[in-house]
Amino acid sequence: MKKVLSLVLLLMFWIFLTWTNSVHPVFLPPMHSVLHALHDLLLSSGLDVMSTLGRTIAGFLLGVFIAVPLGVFLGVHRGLYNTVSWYIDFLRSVPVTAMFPLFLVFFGFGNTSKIAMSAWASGFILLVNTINGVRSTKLNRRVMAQVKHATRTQILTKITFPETLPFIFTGMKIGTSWSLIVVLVAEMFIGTTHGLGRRIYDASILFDTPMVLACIFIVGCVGLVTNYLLTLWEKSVVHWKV
Amino acid sequence: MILTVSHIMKRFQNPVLEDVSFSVRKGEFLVLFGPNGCGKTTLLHIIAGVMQPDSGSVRCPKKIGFVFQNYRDALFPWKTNLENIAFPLELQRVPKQERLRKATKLVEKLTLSVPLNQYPYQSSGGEQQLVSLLRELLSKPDLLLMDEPFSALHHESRAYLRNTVQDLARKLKLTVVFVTHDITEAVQLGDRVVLLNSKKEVRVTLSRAERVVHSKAFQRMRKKFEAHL
Repeated sequence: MKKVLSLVLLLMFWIFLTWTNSVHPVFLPPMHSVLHALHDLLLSSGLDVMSTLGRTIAGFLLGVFIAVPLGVFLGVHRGLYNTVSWYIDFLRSVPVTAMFPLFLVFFGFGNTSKIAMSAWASGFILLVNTINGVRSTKLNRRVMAQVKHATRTQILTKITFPETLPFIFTGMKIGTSWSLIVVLVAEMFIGTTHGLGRRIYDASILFDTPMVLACIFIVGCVGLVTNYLLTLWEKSVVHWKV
Repeated sequence: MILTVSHIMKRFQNPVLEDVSFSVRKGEFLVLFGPNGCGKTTLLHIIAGVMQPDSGSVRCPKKIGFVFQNYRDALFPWKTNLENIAFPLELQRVPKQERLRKATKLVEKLTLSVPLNQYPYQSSGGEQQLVSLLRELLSKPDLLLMDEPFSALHHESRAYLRNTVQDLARKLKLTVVFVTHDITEAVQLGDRVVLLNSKKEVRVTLSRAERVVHSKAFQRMRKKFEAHL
């Protein structure tokens, strides 16, 4: 109830500011023009939304499929992790946006480079989370299984991996946000025919603030829904932590 | 002898175990007694084969059970209590229905009250430790190692589980190596107590009826035990 009330108050404040012309429409356009832009966007720009969503999901999944097995492997092989941790820390500290030129050289201007950047951004978050998850598994569980002559594969699949799941889910929730951010920035600055990033960029050049706000609203909804779905999935899988 | 530990030495920064030797007969309940930090857990890990001694040798059976002090870190929170108990059979690739049936049968046979369909985090500490114990019993171990299994429990659960372990050990003729730093526990449960610090042994010559804290025989045994500390 409080959430709805705060939203109503916020919208009323917005209407009041624009109705009294307290703020220039370039900074804060009237609500009806934003709704109109949103209507246009939903009717005419389904392809933009789908393109951005598709690239985000593809990049995120690529990140998951590479980072999770690699993280488990490095987490289990501590000696190897100690050797390569310096590289991981270095590479994850470099903003992926600074590496745009390299991605363009390797993957071109098409979808591949945007998906690769998205995978890079979410992948490192997942990699670090997965490694930490594996490293924080409980010794007693492994000892118990070793005493029962469990194979290394059994310990990995039946104990280490399930125990790492809470860390992987945390990584996935942060990773999806980063995938979306990187795809939007890539669409803005590398360029594309369809995509919300491109829409925001075009609208900002024309000072079309209603369209910018409509795009931001859609992006926010995409982020919110993704996070909600992941949280639901997390609750059903990692029920002992949530 | 089902277990023979000979001249075990182990050091980390400092010596932890120095020339520890003892043996255990089949069906015997041996208590290893010592204060915190005297290497009791290290010794159990060496017996279980998950840690190597610096010198000395261990001769023990292949089928070993291990009950830990920290039951929260030993059970799997993603499995129900029943699935936890059935885990040893899962490692042996027994089909799910069959292993759950066998686990249920074990609990029924021992007439113990365990919330089988709950998850460990929905159960009390005592119930969780009982699940740990049942998991080890399902694989019918030739030797059961218990590392201060009741020290993390509150008084009531501790007393209940102590009696349960005592009953099960007799009923199933278990060979147990039980680690503790609690004198009452050592005297109540052990057939023989090895004092790790002084390397002395005390034979507990109490009948089952005398193994209650308030009996005179128990108090006499306790005093005899304390004289060796």
